[in-house]
Amino acid sequence: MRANSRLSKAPFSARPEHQKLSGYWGALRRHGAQVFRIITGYFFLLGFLLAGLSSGAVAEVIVIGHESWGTTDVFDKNMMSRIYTGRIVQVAGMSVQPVNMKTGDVTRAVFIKDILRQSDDDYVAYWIVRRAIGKGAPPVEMNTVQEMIDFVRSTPGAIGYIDASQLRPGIKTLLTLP
Amino acid sequence: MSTMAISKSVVLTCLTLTMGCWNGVFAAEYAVSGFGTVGGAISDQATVYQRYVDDTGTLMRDSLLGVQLDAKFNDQWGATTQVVIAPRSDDDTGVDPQFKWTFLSYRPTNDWFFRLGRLSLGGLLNQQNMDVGVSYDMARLPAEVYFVSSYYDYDGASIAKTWSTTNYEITLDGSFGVQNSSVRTYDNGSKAAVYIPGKISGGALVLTINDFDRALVRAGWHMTDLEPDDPGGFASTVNFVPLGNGQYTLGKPEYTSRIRVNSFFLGTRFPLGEFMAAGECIAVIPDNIEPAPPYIGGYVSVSRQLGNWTPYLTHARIWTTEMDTWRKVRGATPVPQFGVAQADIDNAASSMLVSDQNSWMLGASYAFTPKQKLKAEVMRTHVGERASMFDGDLAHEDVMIYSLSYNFSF
Repeated sequence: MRANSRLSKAPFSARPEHQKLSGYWGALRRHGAQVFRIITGYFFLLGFLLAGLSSGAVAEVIVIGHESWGTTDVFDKNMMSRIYTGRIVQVAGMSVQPVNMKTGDVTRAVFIKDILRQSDDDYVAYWIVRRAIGKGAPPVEMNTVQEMIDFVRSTPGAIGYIDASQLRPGIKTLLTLP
Repeated sequence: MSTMAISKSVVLTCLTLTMGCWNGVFAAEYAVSGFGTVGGAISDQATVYQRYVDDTGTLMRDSLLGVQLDAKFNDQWGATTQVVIAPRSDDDTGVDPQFKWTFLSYRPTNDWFFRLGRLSLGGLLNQQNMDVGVSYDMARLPAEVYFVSSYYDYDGASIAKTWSTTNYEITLDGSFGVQNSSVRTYDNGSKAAVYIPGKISGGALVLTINDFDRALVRAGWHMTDLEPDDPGGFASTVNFVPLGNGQYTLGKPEYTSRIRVNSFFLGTRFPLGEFMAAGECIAVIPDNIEPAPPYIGGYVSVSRQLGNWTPYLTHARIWTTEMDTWRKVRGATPVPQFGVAQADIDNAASSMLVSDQNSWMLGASYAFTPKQKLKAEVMRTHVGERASMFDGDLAHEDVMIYSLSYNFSF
């Protein structure tokens, strides 16, 4: 029986040093920790990259509005929640025109989670019921951030939300999340 | 101009406005949406349940397709039309498109909401969205509570006032209107469904309190008047003719041209730890109508969301508070020479709207997306002395019903 055979019954810790570190398994043991660190590193790096791709790496979401919103003190999370669920259609005498991003958008997910404290699926389900019983339609959905910004900039009473890094002149910040 | 003619004019006006928006006649935003259910159900009994369900299986009970057009003229005014293709409500055969919602809406402020046209009085938790199967998890809303809900679709007006506090929203909804509808009974002697057409007019007050999250309480009161199209009216009092030796037969009933019905609703749903609990009860109290005595229905349901799955367990019950008249009718002696055959006695008994049944439902929904749900349910219904939702003489029996449906919206 060869000393470094896999059939050796002696526990690894009891074997002579040369048996621990020779042959295929020995090589694996010698370099295993390093290989493991490399593989793990790539795994986490890949994970971060993928997380970044899937989550959009939203740093901060801000709620924006048309410049016609004179005072922003009235806007808090409670008010936003009621606007986006159709319970409020006027604020300070002005009609609100809320808009959403498309389902699946990262900023939308963050906004709904923070403001409405629910998942996007629950929000969609809420509006299915509300529309079916004749109590309005969900906010219009924008395809791109630029569409959102253009709409809010050009529509009195408009309210939307974007990543803070995309804030542009001509629109007002109503609320910062979280 | 009669009330029905006025209501039809309002409905047609709303429809015209809505279609006008869709065709660009009026400057407005519009949106088209829809919903549907493809549902099958089969029982282990030949006796038909809820018009269609027996041991041959059916798609008629649960399948439907609805399309809705919403038009927004400006920030205050809008219109809605909803057409549903579903089994006819005045005939057990055939499918018809029906206008379920067609109304003009006006919302001048956050707290006031006015509607004029065809709408539902509301009251039960899912009454106004019961056709939208994807909006709830149960395969079928308990018939013990919901079987009267179709009588609450009206042509009329609705006014809603809302009060909002930090934690609660309170809405008081008042509505009134008229509708043409038919009351369905079943003649066991002649083995045929009978539809009694008539006009239903009335109103409702519904109070809803919710906490902006998932908890909700709703209480309501409906008052409705039923007037049959037949000038002879509804049979209101059953008369008996003594034959001696304790025997008796059926006499000529008394008729009334109008029946008043008061209905009371109470419902709630709320989170219970990881579960959602829901319960409703309804009390329907017709005014002095022996063929349709008062009844009480209710259910409790518990569900839990596990990812895309939502299993649930529901127990429902309905019972008529006074069944002595029905028992007496069944015990009548046929006297053919008086024109009272056994078939006449069977018809008289089976056409009376009395119920004594309870059901257990175990089911689950699987949500592929918020707009697509697959549902499956096993239901065991126990019939006591009589259950008018069954077409036939079923008593002291258990009936198993299996249901599977695909529900969607777009």
